[in-house]
Amino acid sequence: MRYKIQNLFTHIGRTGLNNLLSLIALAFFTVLLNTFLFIHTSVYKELDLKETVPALVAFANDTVVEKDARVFADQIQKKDDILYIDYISKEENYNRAEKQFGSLGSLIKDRVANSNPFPASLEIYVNSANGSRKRLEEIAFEIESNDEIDDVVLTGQGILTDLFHQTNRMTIASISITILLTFLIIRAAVLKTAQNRHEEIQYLDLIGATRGHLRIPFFIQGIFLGFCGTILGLTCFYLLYCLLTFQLGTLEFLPYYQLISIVVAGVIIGLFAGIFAQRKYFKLFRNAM
Amino acid sequence: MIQLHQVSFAYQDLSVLERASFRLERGEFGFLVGDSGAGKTTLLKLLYRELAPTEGSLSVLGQSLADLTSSTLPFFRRKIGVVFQDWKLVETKTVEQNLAIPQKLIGTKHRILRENVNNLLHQMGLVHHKDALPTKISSNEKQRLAIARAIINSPLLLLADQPTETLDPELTLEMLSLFDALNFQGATVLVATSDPELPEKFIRAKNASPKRVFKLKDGCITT
Repeated sequence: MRYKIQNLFTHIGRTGLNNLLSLIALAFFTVLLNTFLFIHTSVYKELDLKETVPALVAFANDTVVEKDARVFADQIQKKDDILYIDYISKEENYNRAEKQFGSLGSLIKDRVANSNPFPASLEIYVNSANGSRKRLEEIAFEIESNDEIDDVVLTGQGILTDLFHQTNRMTIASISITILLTFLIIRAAVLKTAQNRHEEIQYLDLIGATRGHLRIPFFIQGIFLGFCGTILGLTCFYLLYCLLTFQLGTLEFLPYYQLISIVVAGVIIGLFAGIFAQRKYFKLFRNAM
Repeated sequence: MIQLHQVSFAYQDLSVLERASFRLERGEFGFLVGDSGAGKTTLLKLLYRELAPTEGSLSVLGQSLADLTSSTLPFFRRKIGVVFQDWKLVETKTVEQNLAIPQKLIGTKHRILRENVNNLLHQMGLVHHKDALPTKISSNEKQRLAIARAIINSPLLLLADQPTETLDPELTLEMLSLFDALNFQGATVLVATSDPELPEKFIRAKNASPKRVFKLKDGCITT
């Protein structure tokens, strides 16, 4: 057992520089992956907040009475992608403005004491999964073409949804690329170490080393590189986050489950890279052994 | 102990052994004599199962080599000490570490391991080089290290592939005496050499008991 452990360390230490460079490369890709995950998580949280806000606000013409506006709201609520519609009367908008603008609101109220310049509005909530900016613009255009509606404005949820979909795609791509590169880097590092130890492995085989004895160091090196590479990457990313906190404002660091998942993924990829490396090594050198 | 029956071996089209047969009993000391390229190394490789014969059957230490599997082969090899022709020293490990590898592999306790390694370092005159890398010692010393490494586990069978090639005559006899002592303790020894005079010289110089001599020529073994 003692020799097996020693053997593991000498195996890993044999190509120290090679392993160090691999760790740096792995850390770099982990930082990149974390950056994408961080952006994705932040956009997701923002979108989550925005879901409480309507995606579109349609302002009714002053000539439209509440009853007609509600009938109209019921009609457009039947359209695809629209979750529900809130009717906000002229008075409610008038009161909201007062609250929204604070002391300035009172001033406005005083100035227009005899009339209410605020229109009644329809707050339109849209299914966020399909609420791309393009789709929202289409809905807005459709609603605006009705006589009852004076104007329709987009609140920005569409842009956020688009951004979320983009970051989704980029995160999936970055996860795939990182998995592939991590696998290739670890596999190359383990193979290089094996080649450097070739004479010793050949000798050990001839004097009675078992399959496990010869192969386990490959797996352990893969796991070691996967684990240390991701830990190093996460540490670097955390330091970067701390350095840039003042610019990032209230954005939170990655959740624990994501951090643990990254390390576990690193270990699993490392193990598989080690398995593939040993298979390739013994296939390549079987004739020489 | 070692039994070859009608064994043939060829490297692709080049035939090395043709229906070779011989038998070396348990506790015997044998010399395998043949010119360079006669197939001595190939024959030894067949005995520790680095190579498999193209024809015929081999039995070593009471074990038919055809029956060995990938899981039983390592344990079979642990009973055999081999002095490789190219030494197979691990160049990144010191002389002492090289010598300790076979002992560590079989899980010898650290205290016993140190004792065995130190004894052999003294016996082989390598104690002053124990911290040196194999690249820093002479061919003669490398040869002695290779021999020490082959005998450190007190193998049941010792196969030595031209172990005295780089040694001076005096040291050659010294090393053969070491093999003889191991043989006296019960191990079977087979020494491959290209010097046909070596068995006779050794017996005469050390007044040793007669040894079996197998001659390998044109792929066939004669006694």
